[in-house]
Amino acid sequence: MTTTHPNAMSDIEAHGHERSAEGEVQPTIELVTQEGKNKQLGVWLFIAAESVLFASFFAVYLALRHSIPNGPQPKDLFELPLVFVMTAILLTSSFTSVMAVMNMRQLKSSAMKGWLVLTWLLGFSFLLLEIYEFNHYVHMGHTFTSSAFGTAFYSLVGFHGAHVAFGLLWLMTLLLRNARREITPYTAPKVYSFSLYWHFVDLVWVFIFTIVYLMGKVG
Amino acid sequence: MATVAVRAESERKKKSMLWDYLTTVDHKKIAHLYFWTGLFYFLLGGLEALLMRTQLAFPLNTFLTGKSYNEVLTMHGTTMIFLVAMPLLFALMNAVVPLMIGARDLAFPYVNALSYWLYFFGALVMHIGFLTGNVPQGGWTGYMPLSLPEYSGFGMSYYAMGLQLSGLGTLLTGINFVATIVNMRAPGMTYMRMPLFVWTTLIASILIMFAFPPLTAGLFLMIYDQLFGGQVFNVAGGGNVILWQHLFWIFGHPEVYIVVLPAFGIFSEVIPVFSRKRLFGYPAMVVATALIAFFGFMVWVHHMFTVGLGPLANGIFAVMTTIIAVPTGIKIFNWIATMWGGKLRMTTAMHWSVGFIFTFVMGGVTGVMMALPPADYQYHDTYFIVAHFHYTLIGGTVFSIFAGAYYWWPKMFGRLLNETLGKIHFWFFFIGFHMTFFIQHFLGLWGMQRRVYTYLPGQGFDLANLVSTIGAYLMAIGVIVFAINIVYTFVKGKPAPADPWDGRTLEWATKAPVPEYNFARLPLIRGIDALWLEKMAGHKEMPVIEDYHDIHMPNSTVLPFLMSLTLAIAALGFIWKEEFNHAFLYMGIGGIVLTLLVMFFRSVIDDEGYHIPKAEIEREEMKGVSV
Amino acid sequence: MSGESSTFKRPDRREIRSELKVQTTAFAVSIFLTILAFGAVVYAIEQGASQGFAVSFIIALAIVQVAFQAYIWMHLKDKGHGVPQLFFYMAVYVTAMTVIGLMFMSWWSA
Repeated sequence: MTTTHPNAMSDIEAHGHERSAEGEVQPTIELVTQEGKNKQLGVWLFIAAESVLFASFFAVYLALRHSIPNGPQPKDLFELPLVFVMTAILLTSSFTSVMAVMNMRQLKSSAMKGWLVLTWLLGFSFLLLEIYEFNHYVHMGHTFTSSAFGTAFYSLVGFHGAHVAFGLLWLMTLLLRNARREITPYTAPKVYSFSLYWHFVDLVWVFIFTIVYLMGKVG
Repeated sequence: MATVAVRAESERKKKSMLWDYLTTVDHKKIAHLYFWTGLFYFLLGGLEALLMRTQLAFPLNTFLTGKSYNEVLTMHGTTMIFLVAMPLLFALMNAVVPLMIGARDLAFPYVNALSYWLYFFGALVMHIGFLTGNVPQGGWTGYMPLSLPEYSGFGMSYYAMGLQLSGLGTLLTGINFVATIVNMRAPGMTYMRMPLFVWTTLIASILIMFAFPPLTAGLFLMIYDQLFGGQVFNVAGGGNVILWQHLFWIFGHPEVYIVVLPAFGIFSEVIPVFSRKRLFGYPAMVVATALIAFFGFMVWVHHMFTVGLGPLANGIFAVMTTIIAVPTGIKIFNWIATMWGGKLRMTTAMHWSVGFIFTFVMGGVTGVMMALPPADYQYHDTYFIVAHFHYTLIGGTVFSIFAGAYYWWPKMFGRLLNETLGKIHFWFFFIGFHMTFFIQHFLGLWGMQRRVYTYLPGQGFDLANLVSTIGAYLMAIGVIVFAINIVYTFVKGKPAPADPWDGRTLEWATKAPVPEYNFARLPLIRGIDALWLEKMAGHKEMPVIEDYHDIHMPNSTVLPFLMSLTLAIAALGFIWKEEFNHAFLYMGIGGIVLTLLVMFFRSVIDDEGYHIPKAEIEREEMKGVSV
Repeated sequence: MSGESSTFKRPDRREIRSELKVQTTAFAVSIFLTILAFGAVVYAIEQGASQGFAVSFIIALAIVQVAFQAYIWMHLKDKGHGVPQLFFYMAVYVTAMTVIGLMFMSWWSA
């Protein structure tokens, strides 16, 4: 059902490197369809753009982290054990989503769903800890409106928290909609997109625990 | 994937035109939406400009004073950049970029519709202030602390929320075009065979991806400070007003290239066609475009030379800024070299192109002048700056949009705009433009400040201002002629052939009107100027790589409209909670919940599109041959 | 467009095993780097060691960890990720400009 023009095939071979390369290497399930390829690239582009968004909040935070006319200092505020636990939880949830994708590629549907549920639970406990943490800070007098440091802190860390919350809603929706569906080239890109996003959320947290919490103790 | 339904024409419901456009995900129809909305705001922003010029026609005039002038000034700038320049370029990109690369649609048709509706509602939110009496009045740059409620009321909240919505739409458009151009090119369409408009669209989209997030962050912080008690820009709370300027200009300078690179792309399409020569120095053009984008992120401080960041910062950014003049100069020489020795056809589109080269060089030269900090201290906040950026933005972007409109009108609307009216349009606009803005260079050098609603008599500003105002009215006449031309074309114009200009690129290989699937069979691209290559080889049409088959199409959907509507409701709720009553907070939260709900429905409902049957496509294609 | 080719690769046993090893190693490295960063800070506070060194050390660790996660967990190392890699580095470039710009040019410095 292909070629109609006499030179067409030889021309594809000569110039369409990208096409012929795909013919040799079989893609994994999330990249079989054009839609899957688009989704993978689209999420990457979204992540690149979001990096700059977070960078702006980081930059504002770095510029304002000593601007505390009233309210507690970061040294007195942050508790490293709690932050370490949160970090470990989020890192693990990122790893469990890796496991989900590996099982997805092997078409092991129930294993994939199991890992995703685990990811969700870890993410949810991270969110609970963050809510507990923020509540604690508010009681210590470190609020959104207390100082420029306060606004910058909650803008950055809260924005990340909102990403976690959105990710949890997304994952829950995915699990719901795919509860009775098999892994197909139509459903696989959806799971893969989520996992990329979730890794990115974890990646941002690596900088948050370093720049906000650890540097708050020593910087 | 046997689940995708095949729906013949008779099974697809005939929709009313309104519902069709409300739910469409077809890039060609979304192009129409962008075009008409952008044109509407162009008229509105132009009207605002006329109001300002009328006020400034005479010294101590009282036509439009104080607060009203500030409002009109702010809305003119914001409208022209965000609601006119970018959307009209998006209109042209949507209309032709998929055709130029041999794609059947964008990578994400649904997101494309979402982008448009976010822009639509963002623009609406920005203008709601006219009803509630709080119009944005802090300038289009929204400097702090002027944009806080203490100084300019809640007008700037409408500005911030409106920009946030339309900015999100723009960001999604950027991502969409990058994904499309990277992933959806037809076989043989390698990167170095893409038409230059595709290249500039790609690079402008990358700029959008990286430049809009700092603005988004800045606007969030602005909204926090205005409506939620944030302290980022409140000096008493330890805040810093310079942060806004940084965030705004980290966005703002790439934004200049976002609106001017696609303009360069349009001229790079128009000039070769009407010179009957291929574009001179194509690889140099590509590299120059990429370099402009790269350096574009290292120059933002040249908007802030007088802030007092010190000689080191000013020095570094001055050097980077002057460097950008080099790739831009390369482009100018390439366009001239393309025309050199060519068989020129001076169509309306070509008029705009030649007018552009002349005008843009002048804007570029003043740009280099301002790149030098000691000199910039003289020019800063005077009419010299106003003259400079109107030379680049009108001379570059607006001229390109007119050129693109005359050039691609047959592809977009199936008719040819009237050339005689087009030339009248051009000459009125061109002469009016130079009359308005050339003299403003001198007004600035003589010391007239920008953004101020009046001036004293006897300072030597009187005559120059009157000349400038008369020029503005000449431009307005030009635009009215354009409007008449559009109406005339729709009423009296004859259907245009598929390839009225003897075009070179792939979009002219599609049928007139373009079918919704663009290409019945995907073409094979064998070089730069793919269509011209086949014409020279004596072929009537493009070679194809496949036989007729069922074509997969995305379903149209009302969800993008609903998602944008609910976000707009949320935005208004959050503003009104401070402006009127705290109870509006629930409207804000409700809007967010509804948005999430729409997203939920989008996610759980399977939407695999449908197939147009092969028989129908064959029938349509046969029809085309007989015409 | 969906379903244009329905054949896709199911990784074989050997590939699964090696991939599992790589991914688990990345996880172990991430946890290790995190512990190292927290440990360095705790050490610096208790010993009163050079805080400037501690800051640059933990930032370096963060960059290494992010690179690890991006290349392994987010599959940048795999074939066909040229374009995502390109955009990853563009994001790094703009991020660096933004952060450096705001850090050094927002407060008065002689």
